[in-house]
Amino acid sequence: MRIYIVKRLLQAVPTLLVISFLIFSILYLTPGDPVLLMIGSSETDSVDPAVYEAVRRDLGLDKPFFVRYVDYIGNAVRGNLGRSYLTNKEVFPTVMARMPATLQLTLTALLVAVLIAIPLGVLAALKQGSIWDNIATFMATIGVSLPRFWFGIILIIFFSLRLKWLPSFGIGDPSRGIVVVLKHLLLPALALGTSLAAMLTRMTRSSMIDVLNQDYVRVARAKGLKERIVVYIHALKNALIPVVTVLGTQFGALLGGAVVTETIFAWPGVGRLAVNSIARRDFPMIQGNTLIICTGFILVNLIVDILYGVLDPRITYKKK
Amino acid sequence: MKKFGKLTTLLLIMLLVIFTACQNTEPVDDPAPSEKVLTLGTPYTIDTLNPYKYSSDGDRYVLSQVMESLVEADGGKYFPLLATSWSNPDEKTWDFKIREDAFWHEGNEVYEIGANVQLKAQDVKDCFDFVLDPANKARRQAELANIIEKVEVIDDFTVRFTTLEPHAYFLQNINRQPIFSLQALEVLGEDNFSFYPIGTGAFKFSEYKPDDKVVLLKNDSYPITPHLDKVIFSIIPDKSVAAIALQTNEIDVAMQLLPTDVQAVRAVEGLTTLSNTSGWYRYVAFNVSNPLFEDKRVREAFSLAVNMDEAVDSIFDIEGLAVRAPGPVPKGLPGYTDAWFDLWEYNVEAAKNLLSEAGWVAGSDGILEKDGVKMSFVLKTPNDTNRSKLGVIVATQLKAIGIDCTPQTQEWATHLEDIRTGNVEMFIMGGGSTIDGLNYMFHSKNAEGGAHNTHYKNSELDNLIEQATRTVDSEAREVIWEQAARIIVEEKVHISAYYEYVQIGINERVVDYNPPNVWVALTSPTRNVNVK
Repeated sequence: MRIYIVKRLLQAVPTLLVISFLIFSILYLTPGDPVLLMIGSSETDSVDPAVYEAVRRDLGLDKPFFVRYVDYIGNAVRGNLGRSYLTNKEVFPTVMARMPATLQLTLTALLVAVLIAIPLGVLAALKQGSIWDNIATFMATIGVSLPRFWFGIILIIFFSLRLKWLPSFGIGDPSRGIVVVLKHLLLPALALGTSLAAMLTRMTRSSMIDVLNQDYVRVARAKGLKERIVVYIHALKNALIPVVTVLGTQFGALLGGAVVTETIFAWPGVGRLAVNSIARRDFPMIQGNTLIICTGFILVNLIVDILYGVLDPRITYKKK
Repeated sequence: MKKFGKLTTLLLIMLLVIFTACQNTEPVDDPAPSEKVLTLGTPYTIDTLNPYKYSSDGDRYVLSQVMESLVEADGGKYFPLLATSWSNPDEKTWDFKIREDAFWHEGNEVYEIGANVQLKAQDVKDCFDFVLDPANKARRQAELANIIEKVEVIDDFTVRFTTLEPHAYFLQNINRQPIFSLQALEVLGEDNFSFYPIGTGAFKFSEYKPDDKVVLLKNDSYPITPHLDKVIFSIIPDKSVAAIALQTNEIDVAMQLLPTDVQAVRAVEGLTTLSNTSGWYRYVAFNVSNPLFEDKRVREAFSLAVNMDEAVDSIFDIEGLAVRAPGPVPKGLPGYTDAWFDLWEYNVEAAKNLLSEAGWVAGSDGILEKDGVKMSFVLKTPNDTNRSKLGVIVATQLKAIGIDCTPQTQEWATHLEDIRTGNVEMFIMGGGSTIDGLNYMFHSKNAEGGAHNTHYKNSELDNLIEQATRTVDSEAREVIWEQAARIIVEEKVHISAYYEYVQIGINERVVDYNPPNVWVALTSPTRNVNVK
């Protein structure tokens, strides 16, 4: 197992290198001049050519593409992701300072998705073809189809504006208590987690139906075990293996979705930082942000792979 | 099974907590019963609170509350802020008397409580010398270095600025530079200084949560006692969400409403909207270096073919959001005149005749062409709903006379770079809505490489702008400014579109906020904002 983990971590290195090159190239080719946005983005600004050139030189933007990329990678492997063009703050601590907010949101969204999807998926599988099954299928279809930004606004209009139950924006200040934190968390987590919930519902349903038709389930029933034990102990545990796989891969999608959700709900996380940095062409911040998120995604996938072994003892990671 | 029983109990507890949490919404902070808190929802990011490197409106809103400049502009007029008065011994000399009751904020790492460190003329000089030194990479270094020759201390409370030339907009230029403490910069270091502003203003910095909020507290030792105990800038990037937050009383002021939210806000009892004092100029521009638009007759024909009155009416169907612009100086600013309206006309036949006179005739596909070149181009617009609509309307009207114009909305950074580098044929833009706007938009030295780059060069225009800039007498300057603007209207470098009035949503419990302006301190000699 240890060798497997080390191997997977080593495999991450070329992946991150490729990702860093892709981000670097895309930013290089993207229109929009960071210098102009720094010194002359306002509609009442004029740009002094000497200042423009000085700032450009200062940021190293006058160097050729490959020199810049090699410099960047050289610094990155030493743990230096550079400094923001805009604030001159170091990228790594700036991104990491926003990470707890994003993790709080994405993990809650994950929890919301699981809490909705697994009971609904199991119910749909057990009552296959019934009204419950149809409701679950209908909700799953709707959930997948809702655009996140639209659904977020609808939630705000309904729960904040109409019912006045929940705040419309921002992250709850922990010093004001758990209730305030939860109130702020609920709508963005729901907005972010709904499409995942929909997907997981479908996944749980089909996986559960498959498992319920297996011989060992039939044997369990033949032994006279109670239906609840058959369903929850024998069937669900096995049905969850593909669901966990999807959860791992969808964590990346949640981080991607957080970009939109955080902007709508004024949530101060890495997604919002990414949006602001892209709009202002803050290259070091965009590159660092993306690399950190990708590293997180790789680690989550590794954790999921390890979890397989826990869920299914048949899966082992032996040296070939 | 016990395990699942526990799980169910846990889920029920969680649902109970969530249900308990679902009570009425409340303001961003829990104010003490007697505490007066104003919460402003700002759509702008707050990138830095460094007074010599700030860049966005969001940064400046906060800095204006914490730090003071020598003078301030409110309602289009200048008044002394850190200065008590100013005089001009000659046209190139500006003497400012400094307030003797200005003290640096206390209760921080730099000035402990009771330190009573006074801001003196030497601090003002040190601050400007620092900004003027290219080594410090201050954002406004080049701009100020082009104006200021030297700064001298006359006595403890008198500072003298000598300008390189007589400069009519000198007050405007120094007004944008807050006075900061070099001692604070030294003690805190640049990284910490950039997020812990220390000034002499009516509010002291308290807290900054990145992408979330900035909290300011009343400065009790400010000569005018602020009515507000606390000011919170909540950063809400989505303007429609800010409009909802205003309606749910989570914020008191939404700094910029979307036109689509204006009616909804006005319909709520206790809420109202305010317009900014001078409109933001929006225009359709030609890249006059492009062979299609070198000929003035072509530009004039385009202006004749566009029914701008109708376009503006259809874009802004709610009253008060915008008015038709006859020229590049917003209504209400010196130099504006209604007489420019006489220089615009909607006359499709005249447009066709002018184009034909310029050699443009319809080809077999109905599109105008000249010497084998088709009148076909892209009209680039920024991704702002109103200007995008304007692009579609203008393109449609031009198509009616055989011009193949394709509107294309693009992201702000791309748009800005395209204009700067000349990668545009016709474009829609806005700005220059300040008293020296013509200088930024049209003086060939400034326009080139900037956000208003039409490539139009006219030495007469440059001379008029320079002359106006040197004319300290405001009445004489206004006449010259009008002449300069008239050249732009006559030359049809722009098809002037409209002056847009930003709508600010506000709770009626907020008093003394009108005219709305957060660049001016909420407590200053001209206003002392309060909440009922």
